[in-house]
Amino acid sequence: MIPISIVNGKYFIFDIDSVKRVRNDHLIIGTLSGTLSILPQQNILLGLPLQLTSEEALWLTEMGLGYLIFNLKSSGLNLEPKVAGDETRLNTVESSDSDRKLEIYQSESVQSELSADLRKIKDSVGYQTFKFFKSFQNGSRYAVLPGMRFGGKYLVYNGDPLRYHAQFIVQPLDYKKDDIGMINIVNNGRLSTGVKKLWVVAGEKEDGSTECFSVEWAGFG
Amino acid sequence: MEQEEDDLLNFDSSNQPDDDFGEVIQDWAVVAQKYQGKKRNTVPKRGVKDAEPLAQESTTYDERMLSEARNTMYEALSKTRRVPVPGNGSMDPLTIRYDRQTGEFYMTQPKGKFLETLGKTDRDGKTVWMFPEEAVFLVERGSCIAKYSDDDSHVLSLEELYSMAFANPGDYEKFMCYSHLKRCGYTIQRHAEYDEMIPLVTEVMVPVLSTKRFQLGHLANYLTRSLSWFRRLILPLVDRIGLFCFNGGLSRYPLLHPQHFEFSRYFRYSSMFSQLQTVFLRPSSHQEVQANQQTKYRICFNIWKPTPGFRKKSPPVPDFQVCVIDVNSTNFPSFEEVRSLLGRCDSHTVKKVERTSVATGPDDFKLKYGEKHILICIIDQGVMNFVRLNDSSFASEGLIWQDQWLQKKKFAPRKGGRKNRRKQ
Repeated sequence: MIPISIVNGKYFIFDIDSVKRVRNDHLIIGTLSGTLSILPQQNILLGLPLQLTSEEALWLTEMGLGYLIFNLKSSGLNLEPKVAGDETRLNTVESSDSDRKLEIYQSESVQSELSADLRKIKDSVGYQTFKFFKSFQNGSRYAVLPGMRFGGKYLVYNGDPLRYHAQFIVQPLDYKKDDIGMINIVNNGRLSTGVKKLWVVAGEKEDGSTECFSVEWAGFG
Repeated sequence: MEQEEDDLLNFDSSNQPDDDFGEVIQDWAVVAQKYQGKKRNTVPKRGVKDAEPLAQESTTYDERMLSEARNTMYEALSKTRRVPVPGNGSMDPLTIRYDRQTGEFYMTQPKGKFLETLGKTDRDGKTVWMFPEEAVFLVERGSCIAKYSDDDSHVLSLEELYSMAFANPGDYEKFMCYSHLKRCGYTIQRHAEYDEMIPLVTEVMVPVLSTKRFQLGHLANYLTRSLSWFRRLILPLVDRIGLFCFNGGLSRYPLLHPQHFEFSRYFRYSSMFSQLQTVFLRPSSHQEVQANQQTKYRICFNIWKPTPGFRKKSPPVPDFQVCVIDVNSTNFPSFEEVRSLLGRCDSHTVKKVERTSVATGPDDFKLKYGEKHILICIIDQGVMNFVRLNDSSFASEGLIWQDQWLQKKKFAPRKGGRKNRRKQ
C-alpha cells in the first residue's frame, strides 16, 4: 500500500520508493513539483514531492493500491472517535526522513472520512470523466497526464512519458447529449495533427463501455 | 504569452523543437553528472524521446532504454536534500522557526543573500518574519532548515512543512506559481490582495489622451449632447442656410446631420475618414469598475526582474503582476473581471525596445503591449501556463490611413499562385 499525503486538498507522494512503485508497476506519472536542491535555478527538472492528480489518487485508492494519510497536527478535521468503543486504531508510524513520530491515522473510520474528500472529487471531476481516466489507466499500458498543455482534458502517452511522446489528446464528452461541434473538430484536429498527435473524443455507451473516436486533420486539397 | 516573456519564464525555449511546444522532455542525466561533480552550473537541456515503443510487446531495446532513463531519474531524486553549510558552525542563522501557536514562520538573526528579497525584518532588526511560501521555498532549495520554535531537536521534514504552510484553499497553487518564478530568478513579493480584502478604488482617473484629442473628445461629446435641441430648434434654420450655401458652393451640412453625406463631396479618403472617426475616451476602468469584494480573481504576487539594489522595504513599481487560477475550480475571468483586474493592477508599462523603423504610423508596440498588463497563471493539477492580458487602446492611435495606400501598384502576373495561397 502506498501512502498518499493530503495537503491543501492536493495529493502528494513524498518518498522515492513509492514514486518508483507507482511509476514502474502502474504507470502513474503525476507531476514532480518540488525544487531540486542541487539545481535550484531551473524549471525543467523538478524533484520530490510528486503531485498526483485527483484522478490518480482516486484510482490508486479505488484499486486498493494506496491509502490516504493526513498530518493531524495541522488539520482542522475532527478525528476523535465518535462512539465510545469505536474501533479506531491509532497507528503511529515512524516517519521516513526523521526520527520523529508522525501521527498517521490508518483506521477505517478516518479513511472513510478522508475518502469523503475523494468522493467530492468524483462529484466535481464528474464520475463520467473518471471512468474515462480508468479506461485508459487500467492495464497500465497508457500513461494519463493532465491535458492542459494541448488544450484537452487528458494527454495520453503510449508508454512512459520519460521516453515517449504523447499520442492522444483526449476530450471526454457525453455520448448522447454533447455536440462535438464542427469548429471544435477543425480546431482540435488541426492542432493535434500539427503536434503529431490524435484528438480523441471519448464517450460512454449505454452498456458502460467507453467508445473513442479519433480525429486527424487530413489536409487534402 | 508573448515570445519575449516566454523566453524569460521558460529557460530554453530556443531548444524546443517546433512540433513539441509545451511538452517537456527531460534529461535527468544532467543531475547525475552534477552529483558526480562532472558538470557545474549548467542549465539542463531537454533529452530525446521516441514517438512510441517499437512494438506492441515490449522489446529489449525499449526496456533497456526505459529502465536506463528511469534509473537515472530515480537516482537523482533519491539523493537527500542538500543541507546548508553554516559559516561559523552554528545552524541558528539558517534555521526557520515555526510557531505552533500562531502558525507563523520567522528567523532570528538570519544570514544569507536571500534576505535581500525575502521576508520582512522586524523593527528591532533581529527577527525576520516570513510568509509560508517563502519558508517552504527556502527549505526546498536547501538554503535553510526548519524547526519548531519550542523544540530544537527536531528538523521538520518537507512533508510536515507542507502540511503546516498551506492552510487556505488555493495556497498550494500560489506556491507553485511562486516557486516557479523564483526558480526563474525573479524577485517576488505578495500583493496586498493575496489574503486581504480588495481595497476600494478611490483614485481619480487621469486623462490618458493627449490634450488635442482630449479637446476633440469634448467636442464630440458636446456635439452629441447638443444634438437633441440642435435638431429641434436650429436644424431647420441650418437646413435652409446650408441648402442655400451648398447651392452656392460655400458650406455643407454639419457632420452629424443625416443628410450630410448626401450633399457633401470628399475628394480624399483620409479627409472623409478623419471626419468619420469617432473619438473614444478610454474605458475608465480606473474609475468605474469597482472591484467585487468577493471576487475569486486576486492579484497574488508582484514580480520584478532581477534588479541590483532592490530594497524589500521600499520596492519599486513591479514589472509584472500575476493572478493565479486553478482550472478545475475557476473559469477564465469574464470581461468585467478582466477590466477590474486591469484597473487594479499598477505594474510598469512594458518598456519599449528600440524601434527599428522610423516610419510614421501606428505605434505597434503600444498596441501590442498597452498601458496596463496582467499575467494570469493557469494551473491544471501540476501543469502551469502563463497568459498575459493587456489593454490596448486602438482609439488613441487615431486615424490609421494613408492615401498613397490606394495608389495603383503594378502587379506582376502571379506565378505559382497556389503556393502563395497556401502560405496564408
